[in-house]
Amino acid sequence: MDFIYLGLAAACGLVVWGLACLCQRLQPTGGGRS
Amino acid sequence: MSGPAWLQLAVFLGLLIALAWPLARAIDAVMAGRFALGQRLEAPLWQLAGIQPGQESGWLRYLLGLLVFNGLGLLAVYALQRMQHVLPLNPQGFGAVTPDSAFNTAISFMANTNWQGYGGESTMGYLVQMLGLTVQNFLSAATGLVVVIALVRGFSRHSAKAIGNVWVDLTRATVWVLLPLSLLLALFFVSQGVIQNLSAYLQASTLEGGAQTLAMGPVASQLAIKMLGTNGGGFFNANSAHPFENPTALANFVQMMAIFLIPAALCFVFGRMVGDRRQGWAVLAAMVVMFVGFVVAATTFEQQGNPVLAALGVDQAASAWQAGGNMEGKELRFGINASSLFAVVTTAASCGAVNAMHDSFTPLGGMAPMVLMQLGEVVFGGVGAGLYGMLVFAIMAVFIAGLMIGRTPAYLGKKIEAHEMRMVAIAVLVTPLLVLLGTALAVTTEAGRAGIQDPGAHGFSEVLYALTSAANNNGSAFAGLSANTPFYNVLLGLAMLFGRFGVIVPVLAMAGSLAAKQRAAATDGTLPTHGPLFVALLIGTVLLVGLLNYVPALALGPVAEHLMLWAR
Repeated sequence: MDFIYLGLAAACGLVVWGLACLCQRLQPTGGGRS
Repeated sequence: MSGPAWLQLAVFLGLLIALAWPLARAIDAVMAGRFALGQRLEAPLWQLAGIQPGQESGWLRYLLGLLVFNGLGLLAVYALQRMQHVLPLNPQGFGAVTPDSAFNTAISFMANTNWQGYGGESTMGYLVQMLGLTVQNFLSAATGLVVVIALVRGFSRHSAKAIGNVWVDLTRATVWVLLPLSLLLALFFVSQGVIQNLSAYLQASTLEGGAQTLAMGPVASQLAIKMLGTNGGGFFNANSAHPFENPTALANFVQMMAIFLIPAALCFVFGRMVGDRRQGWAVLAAMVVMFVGFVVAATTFEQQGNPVLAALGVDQAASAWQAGGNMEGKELRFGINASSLFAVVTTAASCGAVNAMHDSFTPLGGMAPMVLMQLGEVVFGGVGAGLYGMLVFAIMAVFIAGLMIGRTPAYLGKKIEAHEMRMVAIAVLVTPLLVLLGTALAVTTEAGRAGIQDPGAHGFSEVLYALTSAANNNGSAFAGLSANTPFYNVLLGLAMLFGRFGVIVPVLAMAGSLAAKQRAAATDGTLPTHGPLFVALLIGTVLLVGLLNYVPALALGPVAEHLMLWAR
């Protein structure tokens, strides 16, 4: 059961990271990286 | 509102600004690395952790650091709860928390929400309360603080690729801002009678000869950061209505002050960092105007009383003998004024601590805290989260103004272009989406309806309030909803997680793009963003954009209930 909930949390983390990558792609300069 | 209520509000706001001003100076110095003693003490830490404090990063790496940091926090709180039965400092011998409740609580305390599906004194041992929940209270507040600092750096820097070093910022926010303030406040609360011990629960005999269990615990240390960090998770189930967690009227007043202290100070920090203190005052003025409006509304509706009781001949008028009004669900020690003010403070900020049961407020009195959360908790708001939410609305306000006058919108010398507006749109839309879809799912499924205590409009309000509270990271409960079920634990857990990071991601993306831009000097055609016109525009934007999403849902809940109640 623990793995289901922790897996769900990890999947949510990946969705958030996916949103971040999308925001990065939307940036016209592709800037933000150092 | 009565004279004492106005006096209380005036003293509250006056003291708040007097305390926030010097605190802003300290926060600004600490976060800019001008606190010399701190820097000397930090140096060995950086060496140990292999961190170069001067090495800053772009927004994506900054975000990655935050995600890893918060992910580890989530894992730690989850593990502590699940292993509670074999861990020390558990004198009551509580068993392991169920997986769904542990999942919900771990996300809740990571996301600075502190929604509690569990009862503190009947579920959590002292080690989990201290090492899991209290520690996370500090770290989640620090997360909010560093995000707003990064965003403000975006405005204050020009042609820069970096927005800061996330590890340095998190450490400084926690160690030099939150910890010292919490220590002082915890000592004050102990002086007022808040308990702080590791004893087993006491058995007491009541005057009527009955037996009563008195829950004990390290309450003061958790209470201080619960308020300062705008976390709100109570040590006890009754939260700040419990006499051991809120023993005196002075403690109650200071708790409210502590909730707003850092969010108010951050407005001044904003002004300092962008080099124009009037900008901070303008944002603060917009917050104060909206706050006063909601305090007046909530207090007036509660003082109005309940027409059903009036029809039965109950005297609900304020007099020398009674406070009058709707006293259901309120502590007699605090009455209408201090309960209504507390409810507005705790939901204007993303705190969620309560000293009265919001479920027992009149329909429109209860709608005031609900609407404050639905605005995105930008009226002071959570530590960091309130100000970055308000700055998102400020960018939208200058964009709308730009459309009206036909000029390229700019805020603080930074041109607001398509990318920034896309990020604003994501930040503004993500929480209404979570709230409305979540509410729709809950009221259309058997598992969701099973938790509703009261049928009809009030039951709908209970669900709407829960989703609103979770997705906006407030954490206060309307009560009346049995939410400690796998369905609500998962649904609200997801709402809290995406409500937190669904806003942080576009805000940091905006910080990155703003930092990379040139900072143009103001010209005659630039919209001034420090005067009353902009304050009014900002308030209008917050109310219109923030509230319009929820009008149909509010009509089905509190508005319908109000009409039904007063039509009798």
